[in-house]
Amino acid sequence: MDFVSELAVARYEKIGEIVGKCVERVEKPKTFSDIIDTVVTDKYVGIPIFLALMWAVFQFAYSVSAPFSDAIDVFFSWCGDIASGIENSYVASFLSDGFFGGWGFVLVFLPPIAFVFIALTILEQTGYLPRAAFVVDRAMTKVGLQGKSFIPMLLGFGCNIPAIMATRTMEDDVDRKITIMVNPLMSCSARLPVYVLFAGVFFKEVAGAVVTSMYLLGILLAAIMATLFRKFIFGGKPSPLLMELPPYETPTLRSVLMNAWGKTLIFLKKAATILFIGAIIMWFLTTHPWDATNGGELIENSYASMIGHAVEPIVKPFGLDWTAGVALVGGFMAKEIVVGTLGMIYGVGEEGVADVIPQHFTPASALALMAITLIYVPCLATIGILRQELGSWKWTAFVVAYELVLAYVVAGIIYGIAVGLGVA
Amino acid sequence: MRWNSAILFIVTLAAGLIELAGGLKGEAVFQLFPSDVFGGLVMLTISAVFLRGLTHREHYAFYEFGSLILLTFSILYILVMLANGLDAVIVGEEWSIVDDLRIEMILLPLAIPGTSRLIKERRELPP
Repeated sequence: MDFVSELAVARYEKIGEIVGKCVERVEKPKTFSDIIDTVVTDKYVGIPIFLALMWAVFQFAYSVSAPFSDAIDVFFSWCGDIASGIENSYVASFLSDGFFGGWGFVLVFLPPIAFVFIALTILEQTGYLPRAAFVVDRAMTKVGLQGKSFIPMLLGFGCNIPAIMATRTMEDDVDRKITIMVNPLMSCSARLPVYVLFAGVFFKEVAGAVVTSMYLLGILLAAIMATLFRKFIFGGKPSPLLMELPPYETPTLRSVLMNAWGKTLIFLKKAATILFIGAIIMWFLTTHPWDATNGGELIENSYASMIGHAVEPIVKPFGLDWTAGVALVGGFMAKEIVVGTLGMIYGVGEEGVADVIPQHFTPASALALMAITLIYVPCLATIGILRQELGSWKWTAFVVAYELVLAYVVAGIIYGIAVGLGVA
Repeated sequence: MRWNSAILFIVTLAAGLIELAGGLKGEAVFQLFPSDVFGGLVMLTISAVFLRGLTHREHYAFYEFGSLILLTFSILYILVMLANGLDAVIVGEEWSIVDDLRIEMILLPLAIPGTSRLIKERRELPP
């Protein structure tokens, strides 16, 4: 038993002694909350129950919301198809790929985010979330975080934007800052297509293990960085988790929907604006200079290609060429763009990328690209939310900078080990 | 009630192990038991709740809450199935309801008695 635990035990013994002398106990009637708490805070099944419920949140948020996202995608694709029929090719391209493509790209994020908030609001309003924080507090304290950090970290596997916003439940400013700063290392769902593509092509037999290892790498790096931030930047210890466990309540549909809508609206107002502007910028970069790209058909003559060639010397040590550079620059807008950008560059569309990437990547460079995609700069929308929640451009720039350096170092190590083991 | 817990423990344990084995193997072992590592782990968690209840002084709490989680996942997978059906209509793909049926949905009736008891206690006991 460590000093803090011994102190707590001694304190409670003293309290018990004083209370025993001056308080007369009467038998407290069993409450409904007592029954539930017997199970959810149980030392053996408490954490597994918490993980199972978080898995339910994931399933609800990403599987049940899928048709709504697809409906939005289909609608904006239809609008884009109509716009592409406009005689003026510049206007047609802007409206089709820039405007409607941009809005479609932004709004497909809306359903999963709204569903995450609905699920979390249900857990919050029932009174379960404080119990969840209590159950995982001990494990989180070991890496410089606290119990309330766990839910934002877990949500990061879905999307870092609602995950970072979920830190609002944390009272201590330092705990909250550290949680926000390491959250982008949680591998959001937008990075999954990149892992699936490259692991499927280069590591067929063990593709599942490679994808899982990327998730584990993210968790490991987040734990290391949180420990380092706590030790060398912020100091102190995670604040003790002191909170009253409220009685369980049955939430009403109206209150759940109103609460979730309020949080979703914040995403729409802030992140969506940034995402939409990002999509327009990406359209501009891949289609201009207009004449040189022949209206966006020759992407190798575009500004995006120029940026890719400028980035190439940086990524070349990992066996990556300019096409990966363009994809990674695109990934800065949103990680979803990486695979699509490669498809555009190779002129095969998103569906044909798997057939052509062995010509541009080796297994070792594929591993490096996956690691970079996991770690390097958060997407533009996440940066917007980082700025909003950290309340400072300085800390936001720090997060971007440390992630860039970390991505470079980790990708270098992974590439070096892979080449050393003869994977390349 | 301990008998109910014991039966639910065995059923959910078997379902969890089969789903987990399928997930690790990469293909479903039996129809209705998808290859789903995380789904299998969830079922094993539910079985652990029932098992814990068998030896615990307040065994009814574990039986009732275990039933509630089983019911939650049954409903969740039904929602996922409906979503997949709707999605197939939207994107114009083929979809078969049989492909999305899974054991958790079949187990839903077994979760009702325990959940009903919990709801009754919610009404009768102070919060």
